[in-house]
Amino acid sequence: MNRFNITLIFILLLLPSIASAYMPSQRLGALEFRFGPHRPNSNEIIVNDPELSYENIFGKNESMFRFEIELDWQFARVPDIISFAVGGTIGYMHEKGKALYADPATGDMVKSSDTTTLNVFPMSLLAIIRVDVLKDKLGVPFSPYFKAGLDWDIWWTKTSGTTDNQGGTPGFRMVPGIALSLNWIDLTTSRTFDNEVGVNNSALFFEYIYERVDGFGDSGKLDLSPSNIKAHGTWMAGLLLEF
Amino acid sequence: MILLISLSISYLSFADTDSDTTINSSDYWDVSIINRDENSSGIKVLTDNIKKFSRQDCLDDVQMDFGISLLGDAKNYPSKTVYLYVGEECDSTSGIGDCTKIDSDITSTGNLTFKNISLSSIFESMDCDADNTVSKELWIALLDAEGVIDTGENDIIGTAITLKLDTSQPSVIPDNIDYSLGDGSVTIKWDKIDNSDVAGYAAFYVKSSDSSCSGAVLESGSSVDLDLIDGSDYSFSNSTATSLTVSGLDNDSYYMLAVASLDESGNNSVLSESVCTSPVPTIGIGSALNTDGGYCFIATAAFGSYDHPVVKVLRVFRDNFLKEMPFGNKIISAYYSAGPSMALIIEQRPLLKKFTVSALSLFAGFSTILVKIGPLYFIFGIMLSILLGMILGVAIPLKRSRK
Repeated sequence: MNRFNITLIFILLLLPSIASAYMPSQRLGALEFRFGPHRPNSNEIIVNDPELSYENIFGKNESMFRFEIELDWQFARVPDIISFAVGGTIGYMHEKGKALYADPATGDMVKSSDTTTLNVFPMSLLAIIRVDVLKDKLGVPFSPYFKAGLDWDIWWTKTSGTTDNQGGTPGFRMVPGIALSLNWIDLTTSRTFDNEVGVNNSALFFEYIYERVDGFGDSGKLDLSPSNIKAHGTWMAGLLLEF
Repeated sequence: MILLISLSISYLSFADTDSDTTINSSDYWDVSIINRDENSSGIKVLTDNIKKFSRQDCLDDVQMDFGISLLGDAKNYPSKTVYLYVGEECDSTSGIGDCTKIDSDITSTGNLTFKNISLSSIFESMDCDADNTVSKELWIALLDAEGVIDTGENDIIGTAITLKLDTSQPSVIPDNIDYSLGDGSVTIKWDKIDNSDVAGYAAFYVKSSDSSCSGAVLESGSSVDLDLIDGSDYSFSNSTATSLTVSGLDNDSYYMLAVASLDESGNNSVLSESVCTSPVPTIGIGSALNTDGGYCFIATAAFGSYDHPVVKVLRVFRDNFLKEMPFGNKIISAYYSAGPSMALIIEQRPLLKKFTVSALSLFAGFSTILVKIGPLYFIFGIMLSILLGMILGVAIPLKRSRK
């Protein structure tokens, strides 16, 4: 057994004592700052002309940068075991490309100098289950969680600064994720943070999102489901503050 | 009389004489102030910037705006009059001479502004096509109480502004010209130029009636005749720019375009290679999408037709009542977003569809009353009802309980 493995085991054995030394205050809810990529499935975005596809305008591998804020209310808890919450998210993402025109010489659709953008306000209402037993009972600073809920993405498009289409697409999402508590890094700071600001737990999280924002199968709605991880999948990460 | 005067030139700019065809050079003018006598009675150098005229300004008889700030107590200006003299023939030894006098009155110290002063008297003696740099002086004079300039030893006639005429043409010409099209616009492009003489770029265009731009006058290697072009666009702020977008063009017309480099004075080089093209209508993502955008309403789904009488009544309610209500448009927008999904659900469920028909028919009848009342009286009625309810439901029982 080499030195690295011995050191790792030593740290893991210390974690329970470190984690158990911190007693957080009552928890009311959580605030999350979330970001991740979002690339709509261009094959699912129906256009009037195949040459005017999302891919042709914005590029095949272009992903939007998606930013969201989530606010949760923990309405029930089994202390140190599991917590139940409801919450909502609101965010923003946009994609920019060049409008197309038909080349008079060849008839092919080519990029013009005009800018065209797709702007989206993704919103959701969620039910959340967080498993705290690892963190609060066993001293392992990880908290897995699961979220599920309804989505509603408001979108609008602009070309050369003028809004030329708009709408809203409902859908749903399912989100398994895991959070790494930051309290164990510096217990004194985390306790001070709790006493003075009321944040009793801060964590970094990473989650996989399965999301179908397609109007529940309505072909007349703009399909804004992500396609970063196979069909209808993407990921998000960020900072969680429990208060 | 000794006049202890300090003059400050606080502002100088040049007004366009012809905004359609002349170069707008106001962005890069500066003025050089000659320090006449710093240690005497008060003319001070306020700025050492150099303002330059271009050849085109010389040809167009560009006008100037002067802003003068007089410092000190008004009583030190016994004539209460400041005159601006424009010309070359006046100085402390020869007097006003042939200078053009611009009147102004002062009642106190502060800022004075002389607008649109013609410099033709100066430019007349210049060769606007000479490829050189010529400096001329412009005099600002103050008169004493008698209204004359006393050229005695202790008098100060004014201060001079040096105007530099730079008619030299930049030698660097943009090359490798290309373009891209937009809706009513053309973006002309060229290779990056790394030359300290280049301060910006200008794109010129001429409208043509045919696709070959025959007869257009933007010949490569020739100078620009501003009287013959139809328009232009400029970029002074970026000497490393590689494109300019000319907008406001007609999609159905052809245009010949060429670009020239500009120096700090606003002089342009000869023209680059020209291009002939026509702007085109473009299709953005919004126009490309095949989506209904939210116009399939619940009522249309329930009654099966957009022209059903009940649907028409509800449209009247939307346009004549709901739109006039506070947040009415926001309610309508939210409904437009959710409507298509709900309509789809209703269409697929016969029982729900029947219930929706009944509910909407009932509401349609009620909505006709709301439309007749109008949103203003409706809101007034609601508020009055609340007030009466509070009186009858709370205040009176409370009063009875106190007896």
